[in-house]
Amino acid sequence: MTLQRISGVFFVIFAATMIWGVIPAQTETVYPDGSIPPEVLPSVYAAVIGLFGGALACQREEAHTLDLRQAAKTTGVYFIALAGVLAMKHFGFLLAAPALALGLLWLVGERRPLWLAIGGLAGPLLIWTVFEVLLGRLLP
Amino acid sequence: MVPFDVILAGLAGTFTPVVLLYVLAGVVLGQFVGAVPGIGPVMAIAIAIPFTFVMDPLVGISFLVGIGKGGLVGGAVPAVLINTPGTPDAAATALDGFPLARQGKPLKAMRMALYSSVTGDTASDIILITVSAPLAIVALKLGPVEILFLLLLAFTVIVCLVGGTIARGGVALFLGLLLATVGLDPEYATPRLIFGQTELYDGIPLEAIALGILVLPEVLRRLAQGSGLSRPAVEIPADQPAADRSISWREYWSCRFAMLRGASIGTVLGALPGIGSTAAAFIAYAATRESAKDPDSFGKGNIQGIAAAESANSAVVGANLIPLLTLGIPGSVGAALLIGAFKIHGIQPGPLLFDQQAELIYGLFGAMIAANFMNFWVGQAGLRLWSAVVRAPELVIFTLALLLCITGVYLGAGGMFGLYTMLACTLLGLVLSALGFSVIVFIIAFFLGSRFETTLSQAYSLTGGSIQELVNYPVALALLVVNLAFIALYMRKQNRRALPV
Repeated sequence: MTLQRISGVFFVIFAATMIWGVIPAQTETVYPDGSIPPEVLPSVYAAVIGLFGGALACQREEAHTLDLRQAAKTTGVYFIALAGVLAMKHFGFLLAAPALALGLLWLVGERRPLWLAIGGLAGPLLIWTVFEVLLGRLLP
Repeated sequence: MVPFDVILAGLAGTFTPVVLLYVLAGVVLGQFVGAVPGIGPVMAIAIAIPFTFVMDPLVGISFLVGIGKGGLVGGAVPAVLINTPGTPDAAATALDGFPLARQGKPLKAMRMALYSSVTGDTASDIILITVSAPLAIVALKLGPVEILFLLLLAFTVIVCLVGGTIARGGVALFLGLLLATVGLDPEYATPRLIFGQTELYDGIPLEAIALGILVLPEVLRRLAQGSGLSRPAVEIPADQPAADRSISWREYWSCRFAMLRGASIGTVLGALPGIGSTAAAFIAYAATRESAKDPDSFGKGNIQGIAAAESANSAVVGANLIPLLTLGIPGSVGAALLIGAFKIHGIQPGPLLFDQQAELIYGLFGAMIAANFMNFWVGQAGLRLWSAVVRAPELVIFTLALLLCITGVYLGAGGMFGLYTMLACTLLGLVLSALGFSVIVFIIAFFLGSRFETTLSQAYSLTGGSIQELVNYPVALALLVVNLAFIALYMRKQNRRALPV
């Protein structure tokens, strides 16, 4: 099964879940007074997504390929960023931001001390100084 | 018609030290990010939007416009020096810019790019200033039914031209519209799709979605594929004869038709939603080569090629604001982000803007002209500096961009909740682009979603939901016909392409 067909089937299932599950459960029922009720438009949008998803699933042509190695690496960087954000909540920007920046730079292959110092320490400190000290806006 | 004293007051608002300083800062920042391959003005505008929260509307929007204009000038620097356009808009510039740099004349190529960029940009700004107010008067005559069909036409154009195939573009468009329904329903004010999160009553924060969908996926991808090494750049000789490093008046004047053609093509294409500056630059380049006496010299360092490409891509910026300011429909992602910035400052783009906020609009026009002058002077002074920026390791720049995204969304979009929303949007953006769906269509649909819903409700009330009522709205009917004709033409073209040769 091609990537295009998989994504098409996914959007059909997504649309069905939205129309029969999520939208009714997450929209308050109102007594329509001649206007469009709140659940109608999201349901229509979801239905059209399902139709286009169906069209993608039926098309023969594979227009797109996925580089799995690159996708895995990007996912890894995404989770590092997520961990950094969670660390900011617990330890604060001042501690977590340099750790996130240094960790990222190191993991993606930067080894030159000068650039590690600029990107991993001076940069985050500059951001913190500008917003916390100069502008008085609180960071996490 | 906007009173003359309001126009003067608006223009006077631009020429205050604070506004000029922020325009200058925007231009410098724009040229800097434009010079770094991978970070374009769109990314920089998205990162800067949350920081404009603390500014006055005119200051904030002028700052963003400065970034956009500066970015186009900066984008030509790596295109000329390392054959890697800083922004996709500068790809056509590299065709002649890089060969000229290889001939030992990088400064000459960059100067031609700078002069033609400023020329094209100024020409399109003058057209914007002269046509937008009369167009807004025409737009004011349009009611909700006409606006609804205009929005539908804009959606069709964007899906067909940017979305890849109709099915892929359609999925991206309706996903964007679906996400825009999160929050309070505009008719009944009841919560919709908020999953118990009271922070979502106002919908998904614009900053979180702009950065999450547009910027962070690109930042993460570039970090994941980064090597950490600096790029080799063409050396700029310290002592060169003036003829090799500067553009004489005679050379500039010899490019007048190329620049005029580029500015015209850029302005026309910029005013249409969905056609970006990259297309404008290539079309202008091709048109100039076709009409040249020596077409074979193009691609080998002909300054007319640089002039055509740069004047066209810069002319798109001003023209993009024509549909934005007159109808509230963005012509590009950059313009869609400006809609976000307008909304953050409590301003609704559209024809009423000229009635209600004329001073702000003319202030913005003044800032655009000021940004062009600053672009020229900053570019003149900074070409050698931006050449050094090209060598900056992109891993460091993207890491700092990630931290700026986190800071911007935390400050501008409701603290940790904004950050979680941004990360969720990032995941969505990564999945969408990995599967080949256009995030540009998605983001424009998201920005227009609430307007579309409001207009649809008003049109529904006016017509009672009856299709037959459309006969009373000839403009809407005409727009519907244009829409259907556009779809038919597009599908015919697609079918022709699919036929075996």
